Amino acid sequence: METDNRFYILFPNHHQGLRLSQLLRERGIDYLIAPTPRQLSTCCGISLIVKGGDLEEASQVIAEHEIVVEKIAPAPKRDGDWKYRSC
Amino acid sequence: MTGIGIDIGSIATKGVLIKDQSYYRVILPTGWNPRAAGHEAIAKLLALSGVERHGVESVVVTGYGRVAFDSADRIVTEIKCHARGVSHLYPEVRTIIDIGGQDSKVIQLGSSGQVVDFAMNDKCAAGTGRFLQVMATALGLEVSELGNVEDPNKLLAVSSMCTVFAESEIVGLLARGNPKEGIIAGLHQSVGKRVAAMARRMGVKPQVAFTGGVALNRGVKRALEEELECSVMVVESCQYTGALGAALLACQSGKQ
Amino acid sequence: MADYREMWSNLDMDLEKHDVLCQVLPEVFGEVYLSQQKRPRGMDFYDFVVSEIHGVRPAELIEHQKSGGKVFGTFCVYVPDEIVFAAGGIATGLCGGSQFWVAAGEKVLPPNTCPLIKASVGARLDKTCPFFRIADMFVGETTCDGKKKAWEILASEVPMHVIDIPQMKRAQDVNAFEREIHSFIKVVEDFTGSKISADSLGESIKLINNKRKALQRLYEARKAAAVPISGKDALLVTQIAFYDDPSRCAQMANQLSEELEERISRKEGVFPEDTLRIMISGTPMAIPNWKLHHIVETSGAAVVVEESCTGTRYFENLVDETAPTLERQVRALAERYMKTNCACFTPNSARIDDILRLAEEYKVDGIIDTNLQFCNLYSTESHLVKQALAEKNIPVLHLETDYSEQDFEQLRTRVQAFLEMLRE
Ligand code: SF4
Ligand code: SF4
Repeated sequence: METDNRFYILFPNHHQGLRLSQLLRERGIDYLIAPTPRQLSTCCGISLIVKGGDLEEASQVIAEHEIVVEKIAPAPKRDGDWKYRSC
Repeated sequence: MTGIGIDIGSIATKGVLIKDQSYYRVILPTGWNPRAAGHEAIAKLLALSGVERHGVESVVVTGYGRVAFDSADRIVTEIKCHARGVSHLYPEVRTIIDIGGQDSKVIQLGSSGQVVDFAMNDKCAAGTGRFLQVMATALGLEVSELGNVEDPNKLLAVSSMCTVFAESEIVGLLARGNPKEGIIAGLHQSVGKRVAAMARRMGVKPQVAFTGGVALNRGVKRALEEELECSVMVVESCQYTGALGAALLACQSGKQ
Repeated sequence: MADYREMWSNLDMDLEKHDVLCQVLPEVFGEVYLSQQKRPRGMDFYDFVVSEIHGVRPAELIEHQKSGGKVFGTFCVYVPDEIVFAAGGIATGLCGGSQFWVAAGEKVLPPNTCPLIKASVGARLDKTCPFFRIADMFVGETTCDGKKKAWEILASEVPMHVIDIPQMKRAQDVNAFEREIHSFIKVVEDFTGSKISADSLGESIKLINNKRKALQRLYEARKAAAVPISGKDALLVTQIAFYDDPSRCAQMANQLSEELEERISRKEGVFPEDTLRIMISGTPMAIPNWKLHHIVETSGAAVVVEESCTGTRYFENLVDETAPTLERQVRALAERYMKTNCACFTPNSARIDDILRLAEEYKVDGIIDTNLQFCNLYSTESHLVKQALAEKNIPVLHLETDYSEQDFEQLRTRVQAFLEMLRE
């Protein structure tokens, strides 16, 4: 997936996230399962990343299947090149 | 054929432009922005040579800042570039010892100047320019003065290889009234020992060339010769060999 | 974004310190993993596990404990998980791979200890890893000196059993290891309160064999000319295999392999054609140590196989499933485990044979033989590895590194120069 113009979808628990990933897969919408970045929430756990262009379709799926979403936010910008960090 | 080689080191950025048989070169401090330093080196080379940017077929970038640089046609490691640069100047060289600001390397060359094997120091600063930099500061000298100030006849062994320990060791030596000239000779010996050990593990074949910023230091050259028991040739304008190699590779490959 | 804080504080973890780790992981995983192109869909599961790394699996283990089950933490591929599962316990790998824990380990260990040991001790003492808090018993082993002494430090924290691993591979050593497994059975039976029978051991032998077979299948796919999965992704699968439920691990690895096999039939790889194929051999890379793979795969080469404990040493060789009695099963276990070739043994020439065989099977262009800093065993053995490879004209680069980021650029230069040599 291209690295710019991405959005994070955050959930109250991983069940909702996994359900949505399943539905997106069936619809052929590209996504990534990702740990939630600290800039978006202080709680750890899964989010889904979708491309900006797919956001509308993903939102439809969320509404249709009543997936509980905590918030949807643009991927945090990083300034400059990323330097390897160990964790 | 016109090619540019840029070597973005941790301290200085070097550039070489080759246009047919003419060579142009520049050097400037890298500062905090390696990418900007690279661009500046290119701009200066163009101004110096009167070549237009679009007249340059290929730009090869090397050195510590190579990954950050954004407009190179090719990125090549400093190991390959040094090998290329040195063997262009001195085809008979088989071993290159390169001591720079951050690291030291030993490169073994094949008969056509290709890299056959290489070794590089691990994480620690012992045996690098940084080691000498720290020691020069502790002695209240400029690092460029060390080579002229040393006196091997008064040599005082500095036993610690580790930068931190060596620093406190020389502070102690100074406090006990030992002459600076002898301490510096000891520091050079320590760098020489360290690098020679790395070279010996790989095998040292003559002729041995010495490059990198530290090659300007006569004392380290002396120490290397003593440790390796063979003569070591300091490469003329040795700071530029990486950039020269990069420029030669640029001319060779053209745009890719 | 589940909130696991309550679970963590029940485990008496240091939430504040733990939080620092939680901050860094998403960013690093995003850059190292999620920026890769053409990843198999089957990696979803593993991305999920990493995203909930200190949440979902720990919660499962705690559930298991609530229903009376025990959790055993292990540190070496020589510990027979089969015994633990046969007694209704769960075994989980505990090797520390995070730089974050090293400083805490350094408080009690000499600085010249390998980072894996420092991180493992530090994770426990600093109370920043739920797995180290959950395990009811730690199972150590007599492999390297650093570990042997670390057990004595950890023993003051948690019940500890140490398995005596032989140092040679003669017939009497295999017999000795067989006896050790019998003693381990006794320890596990006493600790869990349940008896191990030929039936239950037979079941768990199959369980663990199935996991091994699934991982073997995954690695088989990496032999394809167009590699269908990156080395980083494959490494992550193996790393997670150490602490995931074994049957789920098998299921997920099989699912992923199926997808990879389809890719192979379509000749669809994750890297451009004629990308250099690299083997990494040496010491284990516990999660989240992805440094070397990241360097290699962002320098235009692919890691196609790991000859390490987070690689082939983990799953090569199966335990004979046909042994009829408990006695014979234990014998079969001893025989299987003693086939693993770790530098703790002398001589260890079979490891060199393994490397040569894998180089051929995976058609590698070069080998990076690496060891964690201060691992005397593997760094000494690297000399022999280099010799043997030189004889066969296989290029090799030896690297020594730790978990920190300081030597990243240095390593990158060395790796890239090595790749340039391979291309010439
Ligand atoms: S490298 Fe040796 S000691 Fe370490 S996990 Fe593997 S077998 Fe055990
Ligand atoms: S890497 Fe080496 S020193 Fe570290 S635990 Fe394994 S065998 Fe011991």
